[in-house]
Amino acid sequence: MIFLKKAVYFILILVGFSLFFYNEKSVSAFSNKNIIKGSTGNDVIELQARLQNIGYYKGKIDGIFDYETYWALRNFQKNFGMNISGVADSHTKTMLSKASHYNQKWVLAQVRAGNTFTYYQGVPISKQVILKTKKTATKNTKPNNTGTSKSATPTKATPAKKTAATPVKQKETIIPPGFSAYDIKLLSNAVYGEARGESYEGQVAVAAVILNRIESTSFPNTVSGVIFQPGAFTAVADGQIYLNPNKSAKKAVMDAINGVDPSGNAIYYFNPATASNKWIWGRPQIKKIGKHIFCR
Amino acid sequence: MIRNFMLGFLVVGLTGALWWGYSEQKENRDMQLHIENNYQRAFFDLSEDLNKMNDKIGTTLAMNSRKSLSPTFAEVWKVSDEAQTALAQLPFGGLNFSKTQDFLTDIGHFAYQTSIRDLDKKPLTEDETRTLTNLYKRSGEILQDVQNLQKDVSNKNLKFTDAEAIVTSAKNESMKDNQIVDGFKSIEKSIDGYDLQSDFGPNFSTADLKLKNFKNVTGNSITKDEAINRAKQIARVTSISKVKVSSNLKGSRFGFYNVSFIDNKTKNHFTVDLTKKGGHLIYLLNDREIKSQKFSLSDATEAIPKYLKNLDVQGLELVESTQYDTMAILTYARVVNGVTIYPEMVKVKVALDNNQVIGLIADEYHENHKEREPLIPTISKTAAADKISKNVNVQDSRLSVIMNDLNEEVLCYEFYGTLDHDTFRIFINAKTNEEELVVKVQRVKIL
Repeated sequence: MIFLKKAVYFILILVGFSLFFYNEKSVSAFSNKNIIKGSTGNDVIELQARLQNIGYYKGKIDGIFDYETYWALRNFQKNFGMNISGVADSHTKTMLSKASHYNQKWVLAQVRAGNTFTYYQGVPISKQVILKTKKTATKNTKPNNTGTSKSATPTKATPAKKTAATPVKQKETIIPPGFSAYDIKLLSNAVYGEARGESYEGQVAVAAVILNRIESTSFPNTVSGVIFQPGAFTAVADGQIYLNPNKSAKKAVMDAINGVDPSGNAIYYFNPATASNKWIWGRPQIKKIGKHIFCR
Repeated sequence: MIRNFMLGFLVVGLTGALWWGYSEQKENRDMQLHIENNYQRAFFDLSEDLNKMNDKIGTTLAMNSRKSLSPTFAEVWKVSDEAQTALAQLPFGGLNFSKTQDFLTDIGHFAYQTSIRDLDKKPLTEDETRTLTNLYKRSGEILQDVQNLQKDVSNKNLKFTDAEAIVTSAKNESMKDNQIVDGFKSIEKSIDGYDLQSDFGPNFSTADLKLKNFKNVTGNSITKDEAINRAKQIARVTSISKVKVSSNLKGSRFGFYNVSFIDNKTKNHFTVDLTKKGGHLIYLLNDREIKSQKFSLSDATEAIPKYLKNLDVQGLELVESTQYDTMAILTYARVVNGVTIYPEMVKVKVALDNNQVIGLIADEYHENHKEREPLIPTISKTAAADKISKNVNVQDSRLSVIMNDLNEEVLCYEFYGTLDHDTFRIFINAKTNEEELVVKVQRVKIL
């Protein structure tokens, strides 16, 4: 019994010491992987927060490694006499960790809560955050540590153990540039309504035809213009476009947007069993996928 | 007593049914009317827009100074776009009215290009004046057709919803009986009869959908068996089942094989399209689900080279990388003597659960790949940089080849500049020193 008690004390002291040492060094929670432009996730959040901490990054800390983050990183590398690669490799991460401070728990909490915040040095962090809901605004007066002082980080705070770094789960999907969230939704609806019984290839092909029409001078220039052109798609005419699309339809749209065109540059397709228009048979046929014949 | 009760019940029931039927029918009629009103408005808009367009084209013929010409061309451009929008709202999407749309697009494009030109320095040429004269005549003829139809529509009370019913019905025979459908068909037919290329002159081309024909690819014709082997090699699998190969249909502009199979080891389903000539990859898709993420975007870049080795592509360098949840999209372009050739592009899709390539898109590369003359700029980089707005803070630059609005390849100085939070790519033509293209780099957005 006494032995057990002693053991517990011993462990507690050990943990206390390790915490002490952990905080003495500038805590870096970076994983050992290189971070390149286009990445998302916790490593990027830390990269952005650290670059902001020392004044290189003025954008939003949101875990998306975009061009703004890229230039900030390159300028940091330039000013510290490093190879200007725009890649956060291990050397860059070490240099950055030495030069900056990062309160992982606090930053991740802000990102998770969806708060608007910054992480500049020398300004109390409590003054750098606008909470998402006004109701809880009073809660935030408590912590008075600043982004600068390392010792101000209370030892009570969970240190950056690997377990503390539960990834900020992005429930949202990231969508490609050039399209709005509504475009993607509408395209997925159209693909699902038109081709949900088809193979995956057949679904990508239908999405590709819609995108080809947007490019073509013979059709409207927008996603909605093409899809809602009266008489263009049966799924629009009979309301199937309002069904809730499944994962496969959404995936197919993303593939088509990224340039997969299984239709062979088609701008029409039809189902020979149900097609009512005679002229469609006169179009040059490119490929048959499942029930659909694709033509130009 | 019971009989009276039953009778009363029946009367109430019958009245209810009648009332329900009436209201249902009224609702239906209201709805039809509402749709008809929309079609009528779109049609009258179309007529009005064509009228304005014809007017303005005619006016340009009488004008001579830049001060009045440029705004008028801008107006032609705007009105032609509005006419297109109106046309696309009429219920004929199932019919082929592409020629009319093309015609309006081409006029708009011509007007736009002329409106932004410095007409003091480069006045309208004789050819262009001839083009305008032709367009004035053509658009006048179309306007006449539309106005004739408009007269019938209002005098005879023709309904677009009737035309729609005929267009969408299975019985095609009755189509010729509808005056509206006939009217539009004859407009389409008359435009089809024009020689638009000679109308617009030899130097005119629009930014139409670029149809691929893979005319630059090399190699011998491959057989179906060779196609299967090639597909296996590209997918990096050894043992497959449920193999299907099919050939393109007759209307394709290029020959290709479509191969699909299941990899016995992983049970993944692959679809691969290859050109018949030389067996070059068009695209590869592996449509499996992606499990939780174990690899990073930078890990993904390291997995690629061994796949690219199998693709008979050369000199590719990473130009863009983006992570979409558990999937990475990596874009490679050929680099020749330090010049990035964007049209020769390959995209790779990587699953970040096991760092396996699940998609390859190489059609742009094979469509645009060719031996290239040395790409040498004739203007200096500093001269090009002078063209950039003083508000932009240049961060990086390189030489690159891009496809411009007219689907032509141009050698450019590509500058990356920032303005507040935004990044812009500015392409300055390295031979003419003209600003070829400025694009704001769109941030990936969170849905």
